[in-house]
Amino acid sequence: MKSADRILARRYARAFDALSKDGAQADARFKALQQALQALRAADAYMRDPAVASADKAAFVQQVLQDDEAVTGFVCVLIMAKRYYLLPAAAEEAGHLLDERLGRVRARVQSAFELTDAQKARVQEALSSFSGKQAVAQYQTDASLLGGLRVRMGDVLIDGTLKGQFEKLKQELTK
Amino acid sequence: MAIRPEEITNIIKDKIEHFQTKADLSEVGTVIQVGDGIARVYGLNQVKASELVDFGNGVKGMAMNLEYDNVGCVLMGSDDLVHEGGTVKRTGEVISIPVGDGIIGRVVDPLGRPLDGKGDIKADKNMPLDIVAPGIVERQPVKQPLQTGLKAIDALVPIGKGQRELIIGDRQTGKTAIAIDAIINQKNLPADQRCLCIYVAVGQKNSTVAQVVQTLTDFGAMEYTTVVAATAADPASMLYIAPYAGCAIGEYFMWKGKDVLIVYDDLSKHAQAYRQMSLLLRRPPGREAYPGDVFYLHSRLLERACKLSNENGGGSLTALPIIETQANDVSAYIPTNVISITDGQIYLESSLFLSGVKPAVNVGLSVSRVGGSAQRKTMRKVAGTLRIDMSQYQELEGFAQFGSELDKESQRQIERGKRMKELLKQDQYKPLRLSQEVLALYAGVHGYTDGIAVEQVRAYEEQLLAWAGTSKKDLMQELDAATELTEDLAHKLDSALDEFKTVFNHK
Repeated sequence: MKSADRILARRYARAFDALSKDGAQADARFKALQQALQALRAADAYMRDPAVASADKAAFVQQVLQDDEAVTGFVCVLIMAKRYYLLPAAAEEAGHLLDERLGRVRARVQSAFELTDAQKARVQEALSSFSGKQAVAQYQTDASLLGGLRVRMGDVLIDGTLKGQFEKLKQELTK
Repeated sequence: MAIRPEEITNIIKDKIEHFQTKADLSEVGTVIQVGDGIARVYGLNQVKASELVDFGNGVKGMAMNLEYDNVGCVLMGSDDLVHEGGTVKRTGEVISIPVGDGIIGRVVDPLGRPLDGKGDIKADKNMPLDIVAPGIVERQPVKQPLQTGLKAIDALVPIGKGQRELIIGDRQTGKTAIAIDAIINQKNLPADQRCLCIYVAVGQKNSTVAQVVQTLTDFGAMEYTTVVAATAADPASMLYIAPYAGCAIGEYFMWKGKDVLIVYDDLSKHAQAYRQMSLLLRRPPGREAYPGDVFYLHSRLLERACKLSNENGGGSLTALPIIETQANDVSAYIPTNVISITDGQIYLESSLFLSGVKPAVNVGLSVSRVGGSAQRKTMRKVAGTLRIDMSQYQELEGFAQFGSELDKESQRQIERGKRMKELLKQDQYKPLRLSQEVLALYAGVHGYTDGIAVEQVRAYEEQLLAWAGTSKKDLMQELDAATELTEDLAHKLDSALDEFKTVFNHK
């Protein structure tokens, strides 16, 4: 995606976010937007077909999505501006804005083995206190890490894995 | 040297024992695009301008463009090792070079890695490449001469320690030769008065750099010289940082109170490398497609040449930047920029070079704006009349070509000029001591060569210097040490030159 498009998508996302009065409403709207994205994925070929008139696409969207006016309106605005292709990026940006609004931070936690619930709770707590925000962790397993944790939170990478330690030791020894 | 396995085992053991098993916290971004030595990175929100970033696989980069949603970096290594989606780490450091006394006599790349296969360089400290130049209070005026050993330059465009003197000319006019001669000439001085020399090769062929290093080694000049090489095969980013790296090495010694001579060969290629980077980073092009800050690129580099005040140790950094012109066009963008930044220029002309005047210095167009006050008084006295002789000669030369009748005085001036022109010629790799220069030029301006055929003048000079070196040792030593050309000294020179008349062997 071009960098200009990303800037544009962020602008649309900001407008969408500004429609909601409070966190709860924004949260609900974001969930609805995700559902809409899911629903429209099936009709992707139709939605991106340049031969279909924008008005027809908008009518179709209004038919398919009936639950939230703001979401339907948002998708229709993108269609009428001939920028439907921005929708996934805008939705992603809207997610970031929602996290910001709710004081949340997303983290991707990788470990060699599946963590127990108690361990997960400790990780969650540690990350929350580290970032000063409520951490929402997403867990993944990767056996090649051998042991320890690797956490990616925004721009910060915390590498406490055995694999990382071995890499460092290797560098140290070959210096 | 015998290798003892136990010792190595111990070292490794020690390293493993002291290895810290701490989690590694770093700020990272993701490569979204890479190519042409440039990478665009998403993330790295806290990165600072010109910070060093690590792409992994031993490739480093420098953050150049901090944009709204991405960071434009130049790569300091091969871009084949960087792939889209790869992780980029902040290092929190600016780019720097390890320096220490061990770097003298070595050939290094702009990151301080040895290129001469003589093993690691022991460094005392790291010098950041891009430092703000010393301010006004930290300096003192340029007042000591820096001898290049070339008569034409020491007499007519004298260079002072801490000065920036541009060497400009077309290809194949002997620009590098002048710089190399100035480096070799330091050998003529006692070790404590010698300038340390740094030769920065930017965008040259590897073979050319090898030749320069060989020449310097042959003349024993490598023992006080460092060569910083970023050749044509290196990425543009390396060419861009090379002069700053050389300057950082020079500054290290300057702040230790040493005199340093640095040659940037050449800044045209440096500007081209910067243009390449800027265009690929999509910075807007200006005149000749150079970016808007190309003037600042050179001014901040050359501003770092300076003579420190005595409280700061009195060290100096003299810069000899080189610019290559196309078809003698000094009004192109980069030449005019650098001419206006420097304290004067030595203008070399291909027509002079081809007519046998070597060094091919155009006396009329070459100037030195501050060096005059730094010139040794003995030399200044001799050179004062020389400049007048030469300019009068050039004026009359045109008439003489028409074969018109000239009055006796004009004829005398033309004859004198022809001989002075011969006297200013000098072979490559033969820099002269100050006393030799003064003696030869003194003979010229005081008419001792007037009775000799023009073709014989160089033979006269050669024999004179050889004779004076053996039979007039005391006089030459006195001349080397003299701060002023006293009447007594002039008298001694006159009598010596009279004496030589009988010795000179007309071929």
